[in-house]
Amino acid sequence: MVKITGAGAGKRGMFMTISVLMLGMIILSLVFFLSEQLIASNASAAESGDIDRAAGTYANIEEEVSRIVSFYINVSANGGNVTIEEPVPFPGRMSDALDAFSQFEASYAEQNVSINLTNTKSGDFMIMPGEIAISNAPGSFAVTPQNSTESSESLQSYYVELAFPAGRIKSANWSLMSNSSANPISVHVRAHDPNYAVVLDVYGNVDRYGTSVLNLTDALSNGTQVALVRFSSPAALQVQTGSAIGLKTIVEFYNLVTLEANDTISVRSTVNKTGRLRIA
Amino acid sequence: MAGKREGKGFKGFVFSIDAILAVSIMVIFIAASFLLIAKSSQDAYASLQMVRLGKDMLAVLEKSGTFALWDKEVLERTMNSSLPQGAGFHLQLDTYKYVNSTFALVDSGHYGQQLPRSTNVYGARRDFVTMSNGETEYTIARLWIW
Repeated sequence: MVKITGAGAGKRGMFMTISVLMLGMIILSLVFFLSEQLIASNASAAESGDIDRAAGTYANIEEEVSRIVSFYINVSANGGNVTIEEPVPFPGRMSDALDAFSQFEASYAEQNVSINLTNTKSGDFMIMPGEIAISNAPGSFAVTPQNSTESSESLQSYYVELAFPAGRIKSANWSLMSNSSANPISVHVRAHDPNYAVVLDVYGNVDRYGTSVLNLTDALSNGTQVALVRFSSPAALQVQTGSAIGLKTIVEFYNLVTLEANDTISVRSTVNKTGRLRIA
Repeated sequence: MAGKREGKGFKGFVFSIDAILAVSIMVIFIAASFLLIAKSSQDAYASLQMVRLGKDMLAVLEKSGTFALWDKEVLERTMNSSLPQGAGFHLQLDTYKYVNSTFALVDSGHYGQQLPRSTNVYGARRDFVTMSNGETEYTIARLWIW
């Protein structure tokens, strides 16, 4: 057995002490590093929670606005088809219901919520992509694409169904027809009374960039015009009527589409979320 | 003799310092271990998962029409069969009507167990509108799960 004495033993003791000190420091550094990582992870989780909360509130409000709209008018986007079924004139009570819901959310939401529904209330929507405008005015309904490949060129066909009160409809005739295009739009206009005793079906391939007008005339008086369906450039549709009717329009596209309102919902809390309102 | 005693005193001092150092390092090591174990046992993302579970449950209950029944037994049975085993819940439904430009609370229901005081509780909320017979009702469903 070798016994180290004197200066050798002192040096070894000092070396041991320094080694142990360094070990302690390494452990402390490791603890500090891991602790920082845990704090960062917790902060990240908290931030995810905030984002989740804002996104959840936004989605909830969007869904309920869509539900209110669907109660008054039937709107849906199914693949490349958009269906809009509504009474003409456009129901004014929808505007009151949307206002009440906005007020409810402003009063009871846990986050700061602001909802702008100006366009939705007046029945103005947007088919995306392509920014194809759907608009409602007193006695008028219109689908107006942009003059572009992804807008007017994406449109494949129109189906327009007009439901008139009993005994109001007699005939449907083209007063103007433009069908010279090599790339036409297929149209089908159906007019009927409530019991389908009178059903008028008009088919055609109309010029995407021309004007075609279909006149629907009255059965009661002397052939008075009761409604007008106009197809005009660029691939636009307009329905005009002076009486209260039920209107169903199916617009078919070559591509997948969604229906949005040109309005926004904003949820403001620790994390803000603002987006355009998707209806279908 | 005096030199030997001084040498022994110095050795004792070094021994004491060494012992204190060893104990200190041991204390640091144990404290650090406890700190890390305590922090790592709090899964920060578990709360997010529970909140999402709550939201999904509220959405399912609303869309399936279970809320519309206002049936305590059906609601509690559905909740208990959907939640993970051992989990508890408290559900509150407040329904308002828009009368004279203000919202009046017309119905309020509480379901499930009392909220615990000593456990982590996760909350979810869903607002929904019901329209029937020309009447519109605005309901806030609040769910706490633990």
